[in-house]
Formats: sequence, structure tokens, C-alpha cells
Amino acid sequence: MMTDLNSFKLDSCYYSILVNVDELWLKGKNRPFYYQALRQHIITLVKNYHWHSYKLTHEVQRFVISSEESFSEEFIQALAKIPGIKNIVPSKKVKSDLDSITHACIDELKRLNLSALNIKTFKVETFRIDKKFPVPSMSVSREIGGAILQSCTALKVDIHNPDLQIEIRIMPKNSHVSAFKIPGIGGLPTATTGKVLSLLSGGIDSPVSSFMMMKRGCDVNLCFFYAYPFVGEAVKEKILKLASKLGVFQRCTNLYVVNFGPAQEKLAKTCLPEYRTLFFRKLMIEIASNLAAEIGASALITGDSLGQVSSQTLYNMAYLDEKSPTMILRPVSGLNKSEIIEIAKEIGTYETSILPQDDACSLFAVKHPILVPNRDYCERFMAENSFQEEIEKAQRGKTHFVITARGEVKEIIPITTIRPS
Amino acid sequence: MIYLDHAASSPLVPEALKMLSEANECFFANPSAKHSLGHNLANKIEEVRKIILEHFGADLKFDLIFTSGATESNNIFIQSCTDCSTAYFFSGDHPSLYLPVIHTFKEHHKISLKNILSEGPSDNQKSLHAVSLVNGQSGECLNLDELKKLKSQFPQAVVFLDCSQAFTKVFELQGFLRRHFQLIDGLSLSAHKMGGPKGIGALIFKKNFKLQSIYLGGGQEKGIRPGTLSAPLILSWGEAIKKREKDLLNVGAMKVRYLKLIEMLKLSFGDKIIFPFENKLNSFFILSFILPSIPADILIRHLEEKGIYLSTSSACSSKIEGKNPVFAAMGIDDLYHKNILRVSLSYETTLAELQIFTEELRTVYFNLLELFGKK
Repeated sequence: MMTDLNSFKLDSCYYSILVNVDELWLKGKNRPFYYQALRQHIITLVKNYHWHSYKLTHEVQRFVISSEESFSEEFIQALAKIPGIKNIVPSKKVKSDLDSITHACIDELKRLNLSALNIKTFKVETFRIDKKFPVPSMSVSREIGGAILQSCTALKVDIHNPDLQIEIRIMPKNSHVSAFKIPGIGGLPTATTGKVLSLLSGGIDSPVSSFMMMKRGCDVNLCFFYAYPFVGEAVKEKILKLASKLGVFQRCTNLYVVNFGPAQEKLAKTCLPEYRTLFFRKLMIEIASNLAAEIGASALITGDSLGQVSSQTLYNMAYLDEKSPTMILRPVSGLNKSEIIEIAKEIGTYETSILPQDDACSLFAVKHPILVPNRDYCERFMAENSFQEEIEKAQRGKTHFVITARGEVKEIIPITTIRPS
Repeated sequence: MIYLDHAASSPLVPEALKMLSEANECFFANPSAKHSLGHNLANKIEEVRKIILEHFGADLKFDLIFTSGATESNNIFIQSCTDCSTAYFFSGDHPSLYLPVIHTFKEHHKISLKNILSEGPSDNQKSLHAVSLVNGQSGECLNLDELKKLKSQFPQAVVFLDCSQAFTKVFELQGFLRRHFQLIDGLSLSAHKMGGPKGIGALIFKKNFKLQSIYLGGGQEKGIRPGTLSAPLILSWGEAIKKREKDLLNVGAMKVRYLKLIEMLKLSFGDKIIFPFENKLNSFFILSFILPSIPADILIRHLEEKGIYLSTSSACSSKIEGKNPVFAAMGIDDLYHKNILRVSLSYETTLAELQIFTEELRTVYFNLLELFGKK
């Protein structure tokens, strides 16, 4: 999905970037809404990474960002992470005459590390957007193709399936020359499909689930259940790191850390040991539902994967679903572990997820957790035991972090807790 | 708050705090300056130097330089032992001792604490024996009498003792070097482990011992440790030493509290508690013990919530099985490496505090045993 951008040498040579959008051709009358969202996201990134004046224009299926100062590699890489983008095309802007265009093409090719990218064949495609340009597009392609063959002798032409496609767009004032496309993550622009709350643990699955919903244009808010004092600060640090890696896909991400230790302790003392893990999850979902209602989220996201650990059986999930006031989506339930790991590696969360950590659930867990919950027992237990106090305490004491588009994590301290001296 | 981590660091005694504040305000001149402000300050510093040397009875045959702490002192001395062909150290010791040894000596020997003062080179070559007098983790204390045996067996041995956990806490150290000046070649001290300020320590060494300087500058401290001396830190330390010397006369009371703590723990935990260093010579200020089944850092976090602070190893209670080499060297079974707690006291620790600590630890431990289903 995401190319290794290091072979492209992106820094300081591009003054113009074309941004092609993904699924928006599906949207009819709503199109302006999605384009506006994407536009806002691009502007947020420009403000964070490119501090010079710029122009952002909008054509039929794409945006064009241009500037008097070249774009940095950091900016281009950040741009490639925006949901809703099919690909981005860094291009050179040149005068609309054959000589300039030819030189630009050859320069581009010389700059690229062709062998590292395994590029052996190419094709030239010309789009004569300015109908006043004297040379027809096919001729432009042929001439430039010839010039390239002469100067880059390692390359051959393949018009059906080339490794590299050089695109020339001839417009009234300037022409745009580009040699490669950087694939985006696709999907829909951020915060256009609704607000959700994703339950983040330190494992591999939940960051991937969160990412997948970000890709679908959800405004993903994160929630972590912190089992202090059964686990230490190191676990919280790990979560902040994961949130930081996820935050770069959105404009602004909220992370809520809920202190779950006291609730876990009370549960563990009162229920049958084999029901502990199930009931922990039920309580987490209850607290998360309340939080979702508070922030206006319409769904919970979990990293549940079918059959991976014993608590994640269909029967257990069905029970939790039934009892949940909020809809639960499980994006990775249809993926194999190896597929999940691949995505985790691409989004950069895998290395952090596999760091060993204290795991409160495993401390409390028994050898044989329940696979099919006895509904009678569950109803009776829930009726006889109230966790209202623990739930309220957990909600009131939650800490709130905000992750910026750059991935910086900042703690938000509510004004009411600051006491004047 | 009940603070029981004094082996890591200790608060300033009131006299030291007062002097630190006063010195920062009034004694701001450079002690090396030629005017009277500088001279007066230099004299005051010399007084503290004398106090420390006299404490050990080392004023005639030894010199003292001030450093930033025991770690620096250890490094200066050990790295200066260039004419020693081999070195002996204890791998369960503080890294500021064994790391410089490993770094400086191609040939070095890891010895158990039991044998550190009885093993030496068979060919009568010059050897360095570097060890902490009181081990900061276990509280084990070396028997100073054994130094006689070491020196008689290996007359070429150079003996270096890190005394940061022992200074003003081990009665036998006082005046030791007056009679036994030939038994020790160097020792290091730290202020913040005994109620003095952080950032100051000392290195005491035999008068003719050649110390190497790693950096060059204004020539202070015999050129070995150039740089402006911190008068406020040194004078503050001086006050702490005076106070602690008085406390040392009463170290018997400390012993009573220490033994009572062990008794209370035995009573509360019965056969569940293990004291791995029980039948050894111990400092009355450090107690390490093992509570099986519950990871130590979970116990510590629970106690933290109640305002009680102690210490453990740095291994976390995670799924990774990590053998701690320092604990292994001390002879602690791998099984228990995540279950070690260390309580360290100061002269100010009261019996009441120890009682409350024992009760709270008991409550937390048995609560967790039940919770995790480990009876």
C-alpha cells in the first residue's frame, strides 16, 4: 500500500504537487462537502510543514498545490498519509515549449535511482490541456520518448505495461512534468463519515483497526483503559507512542485515558474467575459507550479478531454486542494475523506494539476463560453487583490528550482543576 | 509520606539545608580568588576536608579531593591504577565500580562477595580489589578484619572501597585508617546518601598514590579535578557530617529498629517471606527481601498510592522472563528476580513508620494473592 519513499529523493526539488482523489467519483451532490474536507486537511498539513506562501487549486478530479519555495520531503510524506487521496504526483513546472519539457523529463529521470526502483521500461503520456499548443500530444510523446531513449540508454519503451510513466500536462501558462506517482492510502477524507471511539490497547490489532476506520473517513477518537496500579507508567508511554503514530493520518486526534485499575480489582474479587476477561470487556464497553455519548461518537471500534484469543469467540462477542448501548465495529475481524501484521508494519505501529509490556488482563486471567457465556449467570451477576461507582470514578478521572497532525502528543488539563494560589 | 528509599537518596538534614541556603546567599565567591572573600571560603572548605579525613583517622597518611560524587571518585581511582596488571570485582556491585574495572583492565576477575577479600593473583603481581563496603542492593557489609588477611596474602594488592552506603552508618569505619592505614589505598564517599546535598562527594587516597587527571583546567584539587569548588555544597555536606557523627554514636538504636522491622515482617508474612541475606553481616540501613508470587513492581505501585515509597529492581513484571545478572551474582534464584523489594532507612525513620509500612504491605500483598488466585 505504501511505497518506500526513500528511493525517490524528494527533498527540495518540487514546487508543484498534483493530488488525485480516490472514491469521490462515487459521491454525487455531496461532492463539494468531501472536497472541502480534503482541502482543509491539505491546508492543515501545509501549515504544519511548509511555511511559505502557496496556492491550492481544485480541478475536476484533483488538487494542485504549488509554491515559490520547494516542498520538503517531510511534507510530501505527510501528504501521502491523508485519507481520501489516491496518489500524489510531485511534478516539475516548466515553460510550455518542447525544449524545456524535454530537459525537465531527462532531469527527472537522472535524479531518480532507477536501478533501486527496478525501472527498466517507460512510456510518455502527454495531455494537451491547452488546446492552443501547436504540437499534437502524440507527437510530443514521440519526440520526448526519443530524447529519453538517447540519453538514458538503460531504458526501453513499453507502451502497455511500463515500469515508469512520464506524464506531461501542457497548460496555458506552464507545463507539468512528472515521472512517478506516490500512492496514497485511498478511502475518504477525514471526519466526513462520522465520529467513532476506538478502544486502543498496546497490542498489534487495535492500532490497525483504528487506522482502517481513519482511512474510511471517520473522525477516530482513541480510548485507552489504564490498569494502574497493576501496570506501570511504561504502558501509558507505549500508548502515547502508538497514538502519535496514528495521529498523522488525521488533522487532530483525541486520546482519552481511563483509569481502570479499581474497576478491574472489584470485578476480579466478585465474579467467577473464568468470566473475568469477558466482564472486564463488558465494563470497558460500558464506560466507552458513555464516553462515546459524551463526545458524540456513533460507534465503538475494537481490535477484535475472531478466534485469536479465547475471549474472542463469536459467543462472547455476541454477548458483548447485545449488552452494548453503542454499535461496535470490528474492522480486523476478517483479517488473518499476517495481514494485520503487514498493515501494522506499513503504518509504523508494529515495532511499538511488540515491545513487551505489563498486561493487566493476563495477570488476572485464568487458564481456561469461558468460551460460551452462561447467560443466566451473566444476568444474575450483573443484577446483583453494581459497578456504577467504579464507572463514574473512571469517567471523572479520565485524562485527555490531543495528538496534532504532526503526531505531537499534548495533555489537555481542564481549567476547573487549576486552582489559583 | 513514608519514605523508605534512602539508599537511593535521602533528604537533607535541617542543618545541611540551612547551610546550603545560607552559603548560596552569602558564600558566593570563588574559593580560589586572591581576595579575602575567596580566602575565607577556602579556609572553610579546608575545615570540611579535615573533618572528613579525621573521621576516618586518615588525616596523616591520606589526601582528599572533592568530586561530584562517588561515581566520579570511583572512576578517577580505578582508571588511575595503570600499574596494576589485573583487577578483582564483584559483579553484584554498583556499575560505577565494575564498569570502570572492565573498561580499564584487559584482565579482570569476577569474584563472589564471599571471596572478594581472599582471592588474588598467584604470581604476586600488583592487583586492584575494588568493591563496595556496604552493597547498596543487599545491604551486605564486608568484614573489615578480612582486609588484614588480604594484604598479608597479597602484599601487592591495591584495595579500593566505595563507602557511599557506609559513611556515618558503619561504626567500625570511624578512625579505622588511623591504625590500619596500610589496609586501604582509596575510598569514595557521597553526600546525598547521608543527608547531605546532591552533586558532591569525595575521593580519599594514600598520599603517594598517583591519580590521573582526565581533564585540564585551573589546577584545583591538586590538578586532579580542576574546576571551581562548590562551596555551598561542601559546607552543607560538612554540616550533615557533623550531625551524622553524633547520630553514629547512637547507631545501636538503629540496629534495634532494623531488627524490629525484620521481626514484624516475619510475623506478618510467616513462611511467605524470604530474607536472602539473613545470616550475613549487614548494614542496619538496608533490607532486601523476597515476597514470592506477586511481582514487586505491582506491590510498589499499590504502596505508592498510599504514600509509601520503596524500591525494587528495574525489571518489569511483564511476560518477558528477564534474569537480572546482579541478583544472580548475589545468589538469588532466577525465580525470584521480579519479587525483590528493598527497604532502606535513615536515622530519622521511626518505628511507627516501619509498623505502618509492614501493615500496609501485608494488606496489599494478601489482597493481591487472593485476587490473582495464588494462595
